[in-house]
Amino acid sequence: MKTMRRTFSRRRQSAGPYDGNPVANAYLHFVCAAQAPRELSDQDLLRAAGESGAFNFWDDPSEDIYTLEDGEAE
Amino acid sequence: MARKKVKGCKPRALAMVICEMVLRDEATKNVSLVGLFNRLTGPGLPMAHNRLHVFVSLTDGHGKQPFCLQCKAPDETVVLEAKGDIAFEDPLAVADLNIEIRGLVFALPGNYVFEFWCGGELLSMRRFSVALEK
Repeated sequence: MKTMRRTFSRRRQSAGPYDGNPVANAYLHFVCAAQAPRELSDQDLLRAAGESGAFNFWDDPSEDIYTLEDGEAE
Repeated sequence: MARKKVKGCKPRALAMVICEMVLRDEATKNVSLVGLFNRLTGPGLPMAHNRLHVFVSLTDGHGKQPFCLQCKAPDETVVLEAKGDIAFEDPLAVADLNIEIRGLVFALPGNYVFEFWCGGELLSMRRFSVALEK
């Protein structure tokens, strides 16, 4: 009962006890689209990939395992 | 004992959480909130968030109530407004609202706020910040 008093408002307390029916809890899922999804163009995709830092590993000197002298001369 | 009707009694918000994902188990109907956050970071602005959830638990509700979720930017402009109705069958029942927001764009850095209004009253609010990655 203490929990009930803490949980519910004074107006709710003054309404009296409930008749004991099982409560019908509800789960509602709303989907709200803030803006229409936009398909990225090839250029946008390339720019996004370049700016994301996903290819920064190429700057690592340890990636430079080949030189201009490598390869077979014909 | 017959229930007395309580007029003008607004629901109470038990919780309001912002998260990346909401999972609901089909067998038990239990809900798991995944990736709770208070801060968003990105490489640049404007920053778009593909999908986030605002999860609100309500109780002590009576009848059908209109609700409104607003997201306000640091300059107080409303960047998102979602409206709906929720019907309470029982004041003791808990209504879990999973509001999924897709494609929300944040143009400014700073503190944003989600405000949940029900029946014309502000029931709960949750702040979060948007910042650039360092």
